[in-house]
Amino acid sequence: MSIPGTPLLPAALLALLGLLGGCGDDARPAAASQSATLAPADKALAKIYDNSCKTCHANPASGAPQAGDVEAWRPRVAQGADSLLDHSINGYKGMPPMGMCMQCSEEEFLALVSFMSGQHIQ
Amino acid sequence: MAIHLTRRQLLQRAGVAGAFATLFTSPVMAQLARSPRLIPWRNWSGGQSCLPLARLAPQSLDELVQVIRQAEGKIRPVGSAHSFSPLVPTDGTLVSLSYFNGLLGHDPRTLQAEFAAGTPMSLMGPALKGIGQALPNMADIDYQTLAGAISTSTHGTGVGFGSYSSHVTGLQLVSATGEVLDCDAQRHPEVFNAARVSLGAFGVATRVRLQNREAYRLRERQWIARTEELLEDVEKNTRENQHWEMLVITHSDYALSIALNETSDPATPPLDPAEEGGNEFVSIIEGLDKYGSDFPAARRALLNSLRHIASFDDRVADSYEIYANVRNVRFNEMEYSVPAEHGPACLREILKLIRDKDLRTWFPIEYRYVKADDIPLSMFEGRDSCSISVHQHYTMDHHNFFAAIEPIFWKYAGRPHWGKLHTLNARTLQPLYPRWKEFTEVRRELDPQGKFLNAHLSSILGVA
Repeated sequence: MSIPGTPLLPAALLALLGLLGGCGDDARPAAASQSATLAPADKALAKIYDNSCKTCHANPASGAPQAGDVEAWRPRVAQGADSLLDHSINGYKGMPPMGMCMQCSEEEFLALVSFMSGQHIQ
Repeated sequence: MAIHLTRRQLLQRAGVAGAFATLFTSPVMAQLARSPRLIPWRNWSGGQSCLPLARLAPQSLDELVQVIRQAEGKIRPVGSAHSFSPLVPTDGTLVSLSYFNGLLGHDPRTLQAEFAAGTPMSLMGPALKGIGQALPNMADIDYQTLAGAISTSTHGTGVGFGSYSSHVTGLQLVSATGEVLDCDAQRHPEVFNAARVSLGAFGVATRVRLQNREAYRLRERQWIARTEELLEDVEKNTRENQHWEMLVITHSDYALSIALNETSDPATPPLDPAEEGGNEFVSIIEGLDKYGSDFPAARRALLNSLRHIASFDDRVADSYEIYANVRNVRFNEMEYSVPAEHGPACLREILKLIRDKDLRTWFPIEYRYVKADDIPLSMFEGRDSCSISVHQHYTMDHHNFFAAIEPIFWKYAGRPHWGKLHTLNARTLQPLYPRWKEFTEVRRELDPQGKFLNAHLSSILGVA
């Protein structure tokens, strides 16, 4: 959808929406081609990544932090392993619970986040 | 001095202490210390949860058979957890089909293709394009797995198109005894017929064969119009467009009308990711609800004014790219399918109630059409239908909102979507399904002990 504003009421609406800016997720889209080609080196983990995380974390339209986008992941990683695990298992904003991996262990969730963020998390 | 530990540190230390204790205590304790911590399962919206004893993902048919034979307690298969109703929760074994994934084979003559049942719908479009095929229709969300989608009669829109289940020409099931059943119109036809919409109550589906068509492109056209005008033009819109639906903007007088039609035109440039799926539109409406719900008249005026500022470019792309949208705003959903001719009256009544009672909601209402089929427990069995879906953001209470709307669906003989929220049970569902008995008899024969039944399935199927 594009929004080429014109009349008075819509202009007021746009102004209001401008005030609301920043309410959403602040994920920074990475280049689609960059995230789409990345895969974990470990074959078993790569299989899980392909079947679950990749749906959103290699698709900038999802609003999720993209695999390999270290900057987008930095503030999330700074929250620590406990928060990352909690968000993976219980969901957080657009992130669905279990991250589409119904069988993943805590160790696998952390390994997947480590891969996507480019930072070792334990 | 206070010692601050994180939950994880606490668990790690407890694990060490537990291991130490096993040196001096019972074998049972030793077993417990070695056991991994139970992780809760939750569905996509977060509204359903359970603490299964085991979450398993077998990597082969043999492994799956062993899991089913050896599992103690209830077994529930899980796909992508996109069902809002409690089809999955179990304190027994949760079986994921994530390793049953991909295109297994195809026939260029009949345009049929077989997929592993755990294949996400999002991966099927490109795989089918590679063999010159495409699904005849798709839903607007493609996060589901194939098994999950057909088990719940998931659907797109279009008066000439049935649900995913109606395109199934064969499937393989592993029953409660671990027996592997290949079913189609010739082999185990009574099982096949009912298993096309089984709620996962017959066993675990492992392979699904689908009737497809040749690959094609679609043109998407969107426009905003008064909801009442769109309802008056329903017959025209559904006749003139292969796939037509509308998203009714609650607390406004307008709706977003969406028409998809086959085209040979070249593909248009890809959308800016920020605009894909209309999520920007959803964010605007959410903002207006947050700051404008105390001023209903002003909110309605502002929402109505959206038509002046919104414009939509036509989009042309491969069919699967047009059907599916990114949905990164989570919600809970209730959907009923009413006889097609009652669709407009049912929607009008819902909108009147929302307006009269000023019901708290901001998610658009989805209004679609689906062709009749011949599957015993399909929502579309024996009747062309209009599917009406109401949503509530996952952080907002949906119970009171859905409870207010649901009786309107009952008044129009609505059948609830099996994967979405509703409050019906066997007593109230059975009269809605003339072929109910066909389903329950096959289920009883395949799983007499109810190994695949959780509390929700026992309730809706009437099994004590």
